[in-house]
Amino acid sequence: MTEEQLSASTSSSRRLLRVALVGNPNTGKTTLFNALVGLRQRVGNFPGVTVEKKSGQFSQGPWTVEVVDLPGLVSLAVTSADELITFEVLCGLRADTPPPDVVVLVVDASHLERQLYLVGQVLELGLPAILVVNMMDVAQKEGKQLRLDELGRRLGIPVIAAVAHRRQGVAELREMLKSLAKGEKLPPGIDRSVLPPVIDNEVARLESTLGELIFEVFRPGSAAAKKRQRVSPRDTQHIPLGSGEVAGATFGPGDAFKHKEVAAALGEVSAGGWLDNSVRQNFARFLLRRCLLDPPGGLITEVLLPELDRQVTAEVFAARARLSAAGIDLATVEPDFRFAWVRELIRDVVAQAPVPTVSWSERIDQVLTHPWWGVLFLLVAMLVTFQAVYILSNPLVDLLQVGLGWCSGQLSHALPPGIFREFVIGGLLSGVGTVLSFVPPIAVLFFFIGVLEDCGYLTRSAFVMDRWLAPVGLSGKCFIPLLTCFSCAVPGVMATRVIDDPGDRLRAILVAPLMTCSARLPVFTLMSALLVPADAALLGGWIKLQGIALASMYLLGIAAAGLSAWAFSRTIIPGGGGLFILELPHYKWPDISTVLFRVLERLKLFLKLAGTIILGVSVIMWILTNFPRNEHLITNDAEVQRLTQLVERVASDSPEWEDLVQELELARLAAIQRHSLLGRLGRAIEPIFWPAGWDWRLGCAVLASFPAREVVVANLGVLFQLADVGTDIPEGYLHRIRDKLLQVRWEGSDRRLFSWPAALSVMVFFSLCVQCASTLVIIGRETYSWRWPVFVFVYLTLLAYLGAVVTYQVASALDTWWHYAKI
Amino acid sequence: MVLLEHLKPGQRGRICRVTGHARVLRRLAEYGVQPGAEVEMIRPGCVSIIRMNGGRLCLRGSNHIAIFVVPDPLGEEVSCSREGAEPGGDEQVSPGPSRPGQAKFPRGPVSPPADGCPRSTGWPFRWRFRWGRRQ
Repeated sequence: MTEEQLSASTSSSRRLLRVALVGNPNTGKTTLFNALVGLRQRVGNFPGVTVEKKSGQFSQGPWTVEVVDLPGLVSLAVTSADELITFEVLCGLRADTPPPDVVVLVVDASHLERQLYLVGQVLELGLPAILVVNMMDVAQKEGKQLRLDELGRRLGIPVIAAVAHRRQGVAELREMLKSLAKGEKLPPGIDRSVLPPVIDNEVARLESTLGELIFEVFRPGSAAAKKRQRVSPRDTQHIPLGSGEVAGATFGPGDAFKHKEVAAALGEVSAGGWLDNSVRQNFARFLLRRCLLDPPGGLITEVLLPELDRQVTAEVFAARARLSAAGIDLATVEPDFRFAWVRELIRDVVAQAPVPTVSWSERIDQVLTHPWWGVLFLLVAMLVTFQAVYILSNPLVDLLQVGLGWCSGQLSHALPPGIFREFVIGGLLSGVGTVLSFVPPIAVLFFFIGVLEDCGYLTRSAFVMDRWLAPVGLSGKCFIPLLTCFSCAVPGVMATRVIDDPGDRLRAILVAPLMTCSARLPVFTLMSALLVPADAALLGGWIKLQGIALASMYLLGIAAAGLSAWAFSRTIIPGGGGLFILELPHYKWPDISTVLFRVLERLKLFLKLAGTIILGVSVIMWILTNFPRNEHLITNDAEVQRLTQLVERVASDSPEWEDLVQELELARLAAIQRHSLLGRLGRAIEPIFWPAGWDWRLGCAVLASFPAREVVVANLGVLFQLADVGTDIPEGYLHRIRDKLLQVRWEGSDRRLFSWPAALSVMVFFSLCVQCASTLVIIGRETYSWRWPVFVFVYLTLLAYLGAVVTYQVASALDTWWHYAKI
Repeated sequence: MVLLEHLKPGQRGRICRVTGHARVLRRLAEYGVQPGAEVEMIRPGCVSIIRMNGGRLCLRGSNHIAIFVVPDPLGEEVSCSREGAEPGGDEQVSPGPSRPGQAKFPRGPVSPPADGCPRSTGWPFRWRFRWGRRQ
């Protein structure tokens, strides 16, 4: 970086204002964020953890305001991974995200009393803050009168009334942020010491005993900061620089920037390195106070403290012991005193109309949270959602297949025949096709889930489902993640972060792969087509038998998930039936841009995670089924030899010649596979597959689907030579595969391979097995251990194999019995 | 003094005692479920919906929580001293720092589950399903 560039970058970053949005869940934070920054946002993960990081910018002239949307939380006494991130960002403990210059606190006007609790906690940081009181319309409809100017005067911070989904108050907030970016100062907040003085004394005492030790965590290059900086900041564009004079205070006069070493240090500077002393002292005091007040099982004690110096931990524990001895109950002292402060704060600020009107939300809830009607509505909503997924996404998938067919046709003309063309078409293009074919269903599903979420229904569904989930050791909060798993387990497992009970969360993660994800659909559709004829129906054609087969696989997955969760709660992860507490937000019309942003985020995430893996697997599969190519073995293959002789005998202008050549080509492919790595492995371990009714080819297709089950139909196509490279793929594709598969025989006999017991056992296997590397990877990342993914893989594979064997044996016995009964 | 889940729909009361593990107590308190708070039952049941602080909460007490409420008989103001909440008073409302193996309150159902809700996870053998009552 040259000197000019450096000075340009510093001068531009001097006009950068960092803003963090903090608030309870369901306060319209994300809507406000979208309204503020519009399309200029990017969504990623906080490095090292799979917590979504949303940041965006808006600017006017040379001033830029960067907004970060932090995960919602109820209190800074953090108990889940999401909440810990918010806490770390606020304190400047994350190397990848500098602490904000301004905090925008978002509260729901109708739940003001409870949500001011968090506001009080955050204000103790001593950062400039703006309070946005959102959903003013709902509060007004409830007959609440809010004197926000008085509230602002008491708190000493600006207060803005807003209705984010109607963009009210957004302009005001944006103007305020812009003027702050221009260098305007917020008035300093008034003293808000609300806790008993004993605690403040302890904090002061800790501060003096620990001295510099507590600052270690904020200092760039210190051992503690390095420990926290597990992932170094990647993009140097993200040079953490606060507002102008702060940066100057840390790095000294401008000539310091002349040195390249400083420039390098800037890139690596740890969070907090640019903090001046007074801010740093505030942060340290705040951190110590939170350490003292951390609840049992809180993550500050469990995650943050162990990373600090041992002396800090010892001193904190000693201080806690002293406070307990002084008669302070650390578990409840904070809520007691802080709520007392909140009540004092909102006295005369919130006036309730004498007769509170029953809001629309409550009227709707009388039906939607009703034990019978609520469940019924939930079922209907789910049915509509999944129907929409099929109806809306199928044409798109077909269109995609047409496009891919066209592409492969063009490529097969353009490329010279040979191993490279085979690789591009058979390995690469089919891999891309598999990845892309998941995009439409995921988009539609997340659109519908997004609408339900944004209008506030998903919270009700958690309530309705809790009574069904609690007995098996899960909780209502597990419902939404598990529902998401019906489209794909990867976002589903990630969504379990909202579950605050660690045991519930782990159990939900462990059973998540049992939910029938959309990747299982192709194989279910194919196998159910083998199982029952397409036109078999009950009740005069209203209920298709194939549909019943499909539905029973979904039910099998759900039942297995319920039983496993129950078994886990009784054995390895005891617990369950813990606390379940949720605030019911008000219903509102969904904000379409929020929903669309959400869909986009999910798609990006999917393409990034699954896309790379599925593509990789397709390529590896292709290599495994095509190499080594021993021409000698292939030409000596009995079938190939027979066909070669036939082709030689028949005249090249006779009508059968074309067919024979094609058959020879397929036989060659079969021979290549037989002698490929995968083929050899499959034949070697074939006896394992026999009890489940599979031969080595079917076994190989199943084995090869372990990295990603999406590819199983393609694998079947490869292994049973069904692939018609480059010609009309969509038109009756499944139908033709079905016809061909029905003719497949066991090698060396004329017994049909895809008898109905075998097809059923394949379905059962696929419904229970976790054949998805992405899911295992994400489980590993969410549980911070490699043991859980290994455990999930082992237990589900065993379960699936046993299920398949039992199904096949029982079904075959039934088949035989039925056969004799007919005679 | 009755358990919260025994309030009838529409009945109001004042929380006077919350017992359970300290961690759960803290979470409850952060939602405002703490001694002295007024509640109104909206939908009783295994998972109940209550109104407090102008908002609505849905809440399932688990095996390890009991929320005791002094019901409001005829809309009268019931005095429930917050002194009870202070540690050191006669009534230990919130157990102090929890020590494993020294549970102040018995684990398992605190009172017989008269409403038949699944207070233990003995499903499916001991599980009786019960729909919420309507007024």
